[in-house]
Amino acid sequence: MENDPKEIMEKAVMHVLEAMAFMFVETVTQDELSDIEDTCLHVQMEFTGETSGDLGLVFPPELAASMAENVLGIEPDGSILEDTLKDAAEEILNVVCGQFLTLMFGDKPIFELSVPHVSRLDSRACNELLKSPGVVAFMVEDSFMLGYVKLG
Amino acid sequence: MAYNILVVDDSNVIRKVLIKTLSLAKVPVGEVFEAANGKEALEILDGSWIDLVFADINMPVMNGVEMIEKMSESGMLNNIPVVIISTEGSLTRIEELKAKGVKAYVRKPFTPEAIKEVVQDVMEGSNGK
Repeated sequence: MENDPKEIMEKAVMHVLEAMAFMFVETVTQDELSDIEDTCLHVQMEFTGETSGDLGLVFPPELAASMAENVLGIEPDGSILEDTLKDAAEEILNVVCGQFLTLMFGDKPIFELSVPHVSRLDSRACNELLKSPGVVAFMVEDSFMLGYVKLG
Repeated sequence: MAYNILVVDDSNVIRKVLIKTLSLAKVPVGEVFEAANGKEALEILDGSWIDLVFADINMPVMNGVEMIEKMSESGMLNNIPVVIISTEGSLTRIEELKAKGVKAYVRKPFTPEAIKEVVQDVMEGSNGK
């Protein structure tokens, strides 16, 4: 049976957040999450190779700060810079992408990865994504995270 | 003996994490140099004594593969070992990089144990040449 991209994305996100940011991650159904009321961060990147596609993560800025603090091993005192927060989010997605590709397609094919990019997503767009098929939803400690992968 | 180490990665966060990991792994480190891409790394290599390079593959301006090719052309790769630290999981790509002269490969996310082991392997190997 072919690998299910959604399941592989779940595995990749859980492994990377636990190994890199030392955070406990739980998968939830989309219905279990309430409507998103605030603007979120959206980190996204593309890959090209035998299959092309893109993948991304969406989460509140507070979770981005916690992830950056954990990756860097610094105290959570609210002083983390915006650039550092974005940098950590981009690197986490970069590692998720590498794990996803190996789990999904094996260790033979070569893929070219784009540089990840962070933008802001308003609450309306976040809620549209939350209700989209193929989206994976997580609780990372006390915050939600959405993940998606689109194969070309 | 303490090693002068050059860390090449476009992520400032990863550079900081790797430097901290080297310390946690009790790797004897002299001076640490940082570069955000291959071009910056070559400039540092040109003007500083470097014992070991840790480099990412996917970087803007000049990526890790281009940097390794330039180091090979100039003969630097014969004297300065390069360890790739990347998200890359393709064994085909890793074999290609080793054929170009890369000494070792560590996959992200990395642990202090993995870093310590690779430094020992690479530096003891290069000292024994």
